[in-house]
Amino acid sequence: MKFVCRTCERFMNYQDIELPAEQSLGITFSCDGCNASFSMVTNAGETQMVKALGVTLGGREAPASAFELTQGALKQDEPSAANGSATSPPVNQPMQSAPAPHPTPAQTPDAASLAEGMQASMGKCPFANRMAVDTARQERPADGTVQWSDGALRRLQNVPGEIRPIARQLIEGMARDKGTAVVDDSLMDEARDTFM
Amino acid sequence: MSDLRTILDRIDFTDDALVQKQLADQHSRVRERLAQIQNIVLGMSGKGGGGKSTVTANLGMALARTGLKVGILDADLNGPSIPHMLGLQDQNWRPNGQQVEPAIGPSGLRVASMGFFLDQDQPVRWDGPTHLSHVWLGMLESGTLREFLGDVHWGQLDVLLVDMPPGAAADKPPAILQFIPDAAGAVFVTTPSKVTVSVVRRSVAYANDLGLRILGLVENFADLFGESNAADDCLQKIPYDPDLARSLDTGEPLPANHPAAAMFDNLAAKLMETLR
Ligand SMILES: Nc1ncnc2c1ncn2[C@@H]1O[C@H](COP(=O)(O)OP(=O)(O)O)[C@@H](O)[C@H]1O
Ligand SMILES: [Mg+2]
Ligand SMILES: [Zn+2]
Repeated sequence: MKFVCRTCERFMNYQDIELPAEQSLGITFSCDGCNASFSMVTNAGETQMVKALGVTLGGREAPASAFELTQGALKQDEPSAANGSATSPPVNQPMQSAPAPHPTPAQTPDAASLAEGMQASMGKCPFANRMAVDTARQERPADGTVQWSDGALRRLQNVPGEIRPIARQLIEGMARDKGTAVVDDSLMDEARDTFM
Repeated sequence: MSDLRTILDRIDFTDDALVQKQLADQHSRVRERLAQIQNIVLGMSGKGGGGKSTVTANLGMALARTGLKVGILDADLNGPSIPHMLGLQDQNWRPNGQQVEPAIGPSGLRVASMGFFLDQDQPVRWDGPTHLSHVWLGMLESGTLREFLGDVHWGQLDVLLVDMPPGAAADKPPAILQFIPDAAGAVFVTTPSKVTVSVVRRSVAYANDLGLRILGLVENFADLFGESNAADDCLQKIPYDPDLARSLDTGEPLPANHPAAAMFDNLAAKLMETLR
């Protein structure tokens, strides 16, 4: 991603990356023509997207080590219940601001006040709103959460014992394929028509 | 002020954050690795629980028994079952160099799986804002698959079998395909049903859309619900076999002279014929 300075008609240069708040990145670009400087501040989802690229902005000193991305992205086992998503700010909520880690040139506002400015506009961020819509759409039963109605369970008992677990898996697979969370009589009818 | 298109035409892009370069480096690492692999074969199916991993694991062992150098990449990140089936569930990876050695399974199979990063029977838990996972999860999984291809010291392989996540009729192409544009093709694992013909037709259409060659169909649980409805061009039918189930559960391979092992030998032979 690049910023173009419309005044100077040139690309701005990547300058710096900092962490103005938890789960937020501030990526600063500046224009060599007019000294303008901008920081793009990401929300939690965007931060994770940047991480998922597996790159080090500005370049890396040594080649990536094996499974650097995978290992870095897996949740570390901490028994505390307070870790993980519970601490991440909901997307349409303002982010916490934090002091800028180092001073910036006098003619530009510092990262902390930029982040504050972002807070105000965050609720209107088109990206963020888009995400909220998509989240609502994504709600469907997760794998492994298929329920059985009593009637369907009774019918499952008619399947010979040795193959019952397999039949169960196949039918639950059907339910998941159809996006349903419950195996009921009508799904059993369908399974019978499909498999027998 | 000029419009953006005019400006962009006039100025040169500089990759000063070195992002493009690093993305290119990532891809070339994968390319170099895959250059040593003769055939990449995807094990696919329409749904989970139909025996895709079973077929992939046993086909891998059958190929390796013939003396071929064979790898299995368990690309089912959220349901890795290959380690258990091959008796490799105690493997635990904490790589720190630039590549990691594959786990060695029966008959010298080289194996990589997300399971090697997880505590036994624990699901994958990514550290990120869960409520926004649809924004980043796909990218992260792509990155992980890229690392499984590029960061594992596969070495010279005749065949790399990939145990794909379930969902061959999904509406989006499997993420791993972007890294293996020249995969030899896919083996589709189906279960017997009256709709097999339509499943097959859909799989063929799906594979065509992805530019994937269908190397063959395997009908698993071939006699589970009575008569078989397998398409004529089915490479191999595998019936339900309690010994096979036990083998998958214990991670102890079937004896080479077991009838079920012989079926996988036959499947392996037909696959190699198709690849030739
Ligand atoms: N032909 C077979 N005979 C006996 N058990 C089988 C057979 N095929 C699969 N299974 C069992 O069925 C279950 C699901 O198979 P699996 O290969 O894990 O499916 P998938 O990878 O498609 O989700 C496994 O527990 C496996 O042991
Ligand atoms: Mg599987
Ligand atoms: Zn400028």
